[in-house]
Amino acid sequence: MEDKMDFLDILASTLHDVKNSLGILFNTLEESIEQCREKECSLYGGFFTLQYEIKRLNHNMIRLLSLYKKEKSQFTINVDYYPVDEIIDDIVIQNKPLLSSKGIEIETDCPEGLFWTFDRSLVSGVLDNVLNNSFRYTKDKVRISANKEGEYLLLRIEDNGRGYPECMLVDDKEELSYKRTIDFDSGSTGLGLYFSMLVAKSHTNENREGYISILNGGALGGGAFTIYIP
Amino acid sequence: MVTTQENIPSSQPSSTTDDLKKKNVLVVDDFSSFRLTVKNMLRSFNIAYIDDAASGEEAVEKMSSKKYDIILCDYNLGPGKDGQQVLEEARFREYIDHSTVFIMVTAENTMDMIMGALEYQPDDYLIKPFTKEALEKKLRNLSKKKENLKDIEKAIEKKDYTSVIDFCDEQISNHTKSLSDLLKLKGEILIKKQDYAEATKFYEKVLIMGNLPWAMFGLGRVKFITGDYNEAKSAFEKIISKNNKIIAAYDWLAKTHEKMGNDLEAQRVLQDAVRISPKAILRQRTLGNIAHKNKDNVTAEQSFKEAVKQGKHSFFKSPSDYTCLAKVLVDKGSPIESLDVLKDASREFSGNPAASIQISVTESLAFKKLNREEDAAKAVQKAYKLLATLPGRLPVDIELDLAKALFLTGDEKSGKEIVRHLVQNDHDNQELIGNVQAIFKDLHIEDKGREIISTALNEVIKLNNDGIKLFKEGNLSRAVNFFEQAVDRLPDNKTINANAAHALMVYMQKNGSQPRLLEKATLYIDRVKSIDPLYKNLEILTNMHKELIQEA
Repeated sequence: MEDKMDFLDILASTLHDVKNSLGILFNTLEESIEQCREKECSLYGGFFTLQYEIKRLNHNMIRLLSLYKKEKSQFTINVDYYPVDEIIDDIVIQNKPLLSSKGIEIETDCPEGLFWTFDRSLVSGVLDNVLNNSFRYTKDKVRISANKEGEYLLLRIEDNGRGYPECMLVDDKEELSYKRTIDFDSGSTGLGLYFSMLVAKSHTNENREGYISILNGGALGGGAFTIYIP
Repeated sequence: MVTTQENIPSSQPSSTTDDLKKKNVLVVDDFSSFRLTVKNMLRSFNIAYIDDAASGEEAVEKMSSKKYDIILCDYNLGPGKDGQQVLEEARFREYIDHSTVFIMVTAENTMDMIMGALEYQPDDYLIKPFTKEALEKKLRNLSKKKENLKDIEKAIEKKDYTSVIDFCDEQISNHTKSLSDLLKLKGEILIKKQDYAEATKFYEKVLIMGNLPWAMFGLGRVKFITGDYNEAKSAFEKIISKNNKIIAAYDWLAKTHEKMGNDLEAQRVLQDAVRISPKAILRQRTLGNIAHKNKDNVTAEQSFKEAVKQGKHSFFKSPSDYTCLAKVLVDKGSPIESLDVLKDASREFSGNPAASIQISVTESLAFKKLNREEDAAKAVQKAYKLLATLPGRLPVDIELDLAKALFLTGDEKSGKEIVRHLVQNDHDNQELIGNVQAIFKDLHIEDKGREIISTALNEVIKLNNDGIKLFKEGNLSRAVNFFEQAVDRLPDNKTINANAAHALMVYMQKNGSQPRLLEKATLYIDRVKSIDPLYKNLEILTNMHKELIQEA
């Protein structure tokens, strides 16, 4: 036994613990929502906001744990060959109850028979997070699409909200390092963006590296997040 | 194609839930609140048969008495077995088969807790927390997938590999969702079929589609089996450089180093693997053996102690972990401690004669170190007498240990008898001959050993050659007679059995089949199969046999 525990290790095991609690919280809440719906209770709408916040926290825990692993050089990716439409379906199913509660419509667009090599849980994590955020930021529509563009698979989430703030836009494949500072005023830690970049970059194929872009406009006129996987 | 998802209220069970209704489900988690949540979800899909278990041990126990269609198992189950061990044990003991859906539930977003287990993989993972909808979709998809693979599973059970590959190719060309599973399966079957050229081509093609670790792993294994160790080494190293958590690649890399004669490298690789994933009894055992071979008694002692400890709750428990530990302790000069370990072993494996033999032989080494010659001799004689009471023979390394102990305690006659038997039963096995020679070298009776070996070898070779000569001269009935007698003398020798079967079948091809001879041929071929399933001419023999049976 070493006489001094590593602070990072303490942090990581605490994160694990918090994450487990969040999991229980999330599922308990889901049961409550279910019961509320049956009894047509009026609190039921507010519960979704709770669920949204819990998921946000959970995403934060996942990201922090990933960063911890990166720090300890334990961050590895686990790739396999997946049907892309199945991944999209999964994320839609996870987020539909939440988004439907606010009347947000989800649209998907993915060519049939499109397969790609990537780490399913990491890429799903990135997309899940962006889709979860549309609960707060879109007006009433969100669109997930996938396509092959050159040597890359592109996965895009667009909405018809007000779009991303200027300072968050990323539109340069070469902009590989993340330099922004944490902005405590806006409440944005930038962790989500950093994590997305980390996931994109850890996918490599020959000399190509993955990347992301965050733009405004897009098919629905709001924000457009895209992850490119070689 | 653009589709708009309708807002169907998720509380309404869809009409397709019926296919899940009749399933038997087991939920494994150490948190009762989580088990309850999942059980409630399952009930809402109208599933009636739901059991739960709070620990890995309880889960295995339940699986042993009831066949489940779906198992939802948490990875982290507190003290005792973890989810991966539950899966391994259930598969190994065949409590679950290919038709069972096994889902590993983890709190982790990345899969490295599972440590890239390539050999015993769950059908899917679920990351906590998950919604009811996600669980339902997953269960439905997986059940459908199992349904689609039904024909393939049946063909696998019948070992009809050609059909399996045809099924795979058919489904692969249909753009199925489970493409990756089918590709993996096809590769495995090509290896099982021993069609290594085709397997190599297949994996190389898959690797063009993407840098998939399982394909690289398959390629590495093919290269290993075909003796192309340099290529195998580079494949396994490539996997590790991309993902240093894929432990199976370390195991195979170590095996490759060992084949290339780099025992020190092999040990280093295994030590890396054990550092990443210490909870693996088989790996600890392998590391212990190689470290002992490298005379690194510190590492060997540590590994075998770990293997003994982990074995307490594992079905991989083996007496050899105790005896190996005891041997290392003798080598490092602690014979008293060694005897203590063996006493433990006797308790753990009472009523197991094969274990008692190993234990007694090792005891004799400890006694010898303590200069208690009489006790040493007594222990060895006890083991030798026990051997005679066994119906079959023991694994080669155990018998060799016994032979060595017999020589050491002065019973040369019995020792020689064992060596002769071993050598004559597997006279083509250079590794075995090398091991026997090494023992004589250890005993400082190299010349005498060489003579014992060559006498034994010459006897078999002459016997076999005489038979072959009769056969080649076209003297078929005499060849058949000769080989039948030879087999009676050496019933465990695969070459003699194979040649006897061959002579019999050629004789029947010429003179028509006879039930008595056909029966014998069947027996000989079965023996070859059980001694060495990879015997080079086995397929030719099996095909000849099939034709004769069809004619009869």
